[in-house]
Amino acid sequence: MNLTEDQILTLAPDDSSKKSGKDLANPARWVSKGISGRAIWGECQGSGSKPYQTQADLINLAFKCSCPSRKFPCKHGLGLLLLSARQPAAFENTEEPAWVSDWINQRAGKEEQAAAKKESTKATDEAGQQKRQQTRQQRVKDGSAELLLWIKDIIRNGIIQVPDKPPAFWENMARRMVDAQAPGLAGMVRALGETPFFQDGWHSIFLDQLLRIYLVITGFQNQPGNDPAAGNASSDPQGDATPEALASGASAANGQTPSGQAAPAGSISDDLSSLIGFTVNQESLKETPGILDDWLVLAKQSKEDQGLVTERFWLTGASTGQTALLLQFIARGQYAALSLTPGMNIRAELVFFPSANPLRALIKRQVATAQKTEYFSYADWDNVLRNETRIASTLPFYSERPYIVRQLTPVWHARQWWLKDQHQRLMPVRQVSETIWNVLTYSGGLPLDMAVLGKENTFEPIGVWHNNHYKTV
Amino acid sequence: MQFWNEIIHTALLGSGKKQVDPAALPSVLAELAQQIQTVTPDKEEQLLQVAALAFNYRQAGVTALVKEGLELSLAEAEEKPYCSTEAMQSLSTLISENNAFLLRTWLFLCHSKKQIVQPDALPALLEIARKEKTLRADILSITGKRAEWLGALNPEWKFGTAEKEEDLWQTGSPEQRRTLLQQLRHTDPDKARSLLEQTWATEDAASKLDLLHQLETGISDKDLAFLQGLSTEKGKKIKEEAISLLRKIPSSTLILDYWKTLDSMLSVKKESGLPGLGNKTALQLSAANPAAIKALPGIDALSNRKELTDDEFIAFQLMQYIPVSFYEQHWQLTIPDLIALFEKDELGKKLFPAFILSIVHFADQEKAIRFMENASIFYLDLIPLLPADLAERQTIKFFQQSPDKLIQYATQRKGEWSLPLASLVLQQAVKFPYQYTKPFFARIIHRIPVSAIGLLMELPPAETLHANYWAATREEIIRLLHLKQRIITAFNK
Repeated sequence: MNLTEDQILTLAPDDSSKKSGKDLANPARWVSKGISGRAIWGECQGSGSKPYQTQADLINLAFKCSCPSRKFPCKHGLGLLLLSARQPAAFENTEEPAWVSDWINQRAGKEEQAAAKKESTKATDEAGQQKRQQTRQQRVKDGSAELLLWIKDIIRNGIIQVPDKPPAFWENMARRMVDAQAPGLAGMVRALGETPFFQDGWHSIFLDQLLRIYLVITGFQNQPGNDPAAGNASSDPQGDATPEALASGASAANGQTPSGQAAPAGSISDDLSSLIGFTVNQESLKETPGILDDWLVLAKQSKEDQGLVTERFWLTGASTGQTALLLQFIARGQYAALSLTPGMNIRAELVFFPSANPLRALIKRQVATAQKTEYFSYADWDNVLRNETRIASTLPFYSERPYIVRQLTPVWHARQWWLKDQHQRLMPVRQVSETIWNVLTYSGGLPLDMAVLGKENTFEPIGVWHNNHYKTV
Repeated sequence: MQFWNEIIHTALLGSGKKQVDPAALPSVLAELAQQIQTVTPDKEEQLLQVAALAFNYRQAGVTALVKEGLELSLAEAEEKPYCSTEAMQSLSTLISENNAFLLRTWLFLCHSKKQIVQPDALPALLEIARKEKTLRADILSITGKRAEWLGALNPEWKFGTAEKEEDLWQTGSPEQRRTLLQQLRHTDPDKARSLLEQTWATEDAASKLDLLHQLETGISDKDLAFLQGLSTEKGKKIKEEAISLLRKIPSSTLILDYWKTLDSMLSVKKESGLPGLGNKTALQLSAANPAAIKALPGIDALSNRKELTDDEFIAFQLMQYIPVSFYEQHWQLTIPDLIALFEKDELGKKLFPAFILSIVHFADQEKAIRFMENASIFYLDLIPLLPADLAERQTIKFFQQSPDKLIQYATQRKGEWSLPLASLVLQQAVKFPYQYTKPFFARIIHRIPVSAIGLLMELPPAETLHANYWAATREEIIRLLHLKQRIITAFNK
């Protein structure tokens, strides 16, 4: 595993863990340490009489430590990886002690057990489930009709009055949608109320979101048989924790497959279901065939809301060119199952949520950490926009996605920053933040291969290749 | 996107007042809009359908702007090598911890090795340079050509060459003008004074006081005419500031007046001693002329110290503003003779501390050394004036007399302390852990040598009451010293 110090630090749960982890990246603090092909471990002398046993799975990055910390990874785990990044020679390649091999074997065993458990739990109350589905279906139908009426009221009176509406105006309708078991629509309504009304051009932002909701409602109402729960969709509450997050842009699609195996495309019904809030059973999803590839983690975005941290990892596949979005939800005090950091390469099989343009995915199995490799990229903006057109033609309410575009140069024109491709075509940078200055720092005026995130006509740089290394910006 | 503006305009007014005009839409949309308006009876539904159509038409049909000839100038190639990855890692830690004190050490080492920082850290460092003026010059010494190029693009990172000094002086904010004056007083004090003179009449009272205060740096005879001319100022505070500055110039009329007054009051009287033992010298103080004292600015006529009479108090005040060299010139006494005269005499003993205050007032290093060598008592206040190695020796020698004061002086010196001095400071911290806390050590960690790590492990424990507090402080010091060690090692590879 070749993680840089910065990449390791992005795994830290908070700043104090980063600081403590750095302190522990000191050989003097470790009584013993070692590495094997699949694990790294060490015993760290803490305040107790016995040293803490710290270990990390290098294939499918995970941590374990005997310290009492509730943070994950703990400072010892971070310190161990930081020390290995700083002084790889300090770790002797040796046989795993029992406490390491037991844990690693146990992890492998757990996956098998989970597979076996799945088989045994398939049985069940299918009739009851069907009935619950129908009840929910009716509630969603009624709720969406109510929402459509509400939208029409706004449209009749004109959106010019909308900025004066009190917060309760949006929240009440969002709650109605929760009552109607359409949490996805509730999230979309809340996002509508969060339109930046103080900003120039709010009208267009507001209308875009309003029309997305309208399209989802009418799409749902016009479905043949009006059965969103058909296919992979289910109302299993254990399946997908936060459909509201999906509705705010997590679920959508990308069918761009320049070479290799593509994620199998579903239908627009799948997207409508997920946007309304019907969840997909993740365990069932993991049983479907996935895409095995070397995936580069392009970016990680974190957002905390009411104690729930939502992490979004943007990935791109080396041989397939498929892009993917992994979502992770961490409640306070809960362990994060995914330990990915931007710039990290993993060899893994990903399964995609059904969609007309699959984008959101799960890691079905991680085979190993991969070496740096070449990734599919778009030659210019025209190619990116052709893909956008293709997506919009199948999924009008699609969300932003990442692209790797070759040889982009930042330029200043008409009082804003643009990214210029090799054919003198310009695309505005979404927002002038520190991001553009990081890009300029690496560029020095020269073109760079760049990862961007966005849609339609604005994109934001998320990483660049500088001296053959991927750097997040 | 005229058609989208038409949609927005209609939505703003509402379907109750306006419908989309198909003629304002592209032909392909116009035809469909007409169909929608024909078959859909509901006006709201009509608008929503047409708008949804236009929304996807818009997002599916984006084209990139084609603009030939737009180029950024290229950054010049760097002339110096980049620092190592290890050095960058330690820099990243310093930036994330906002550790300005070790950052200074890092910058110094990078500059002394004739290296520059890798581009990764440039934006963060330039932001620090923007906010922390005291670090700016050090940062700009290691940011290379790329930072100059970035500065040309980002006005906030364009340091130094931004504006001509005169322009900045005329149009800058109060803080910018103060900073400019401060900088110029270091590099070209005459030019700084000249700028202030040019605009003096137009400044308001607060600015006058603030800017005048900056003249203390680099003050010399050349400032006399300007400062003495301020005696006609209306503002009391401005006059007081001018007097305070004139007191720093030995050739000022004020100091000469002080000397004249003192010389008329205090004299050396030669008394005949016993036969064969030569003459005996003694100090004699005559009564001050009340009218003359009243005319002297900054001198009180009545004593506020019970061990000094009014006349002695006046003499003491005058002496603390009179350079020691005046006694050498006018009384024809060498420094050892002067010290001996005052140390033997009862009156002299009372007035002797005024010499020390005068040496400190004029920051006279040469006299500080002479007094240290010849006086029977060592005055701790002279330590800040001594050369660093001498100051350190004296600090160690007299540490137990006044540890807190000497620690304070030691923190103001440049450079790293010796291990013995660091040891004394750490021992003091063990005794008083609530006084010498983590923030204190964070501020002075660049002064403590890395070799003190071993010493910290061997220090006796603090009293039980303070044990935990000190243990936490010690951990932090060790952590910072390890970080410092990493920085040093990274640049010595």
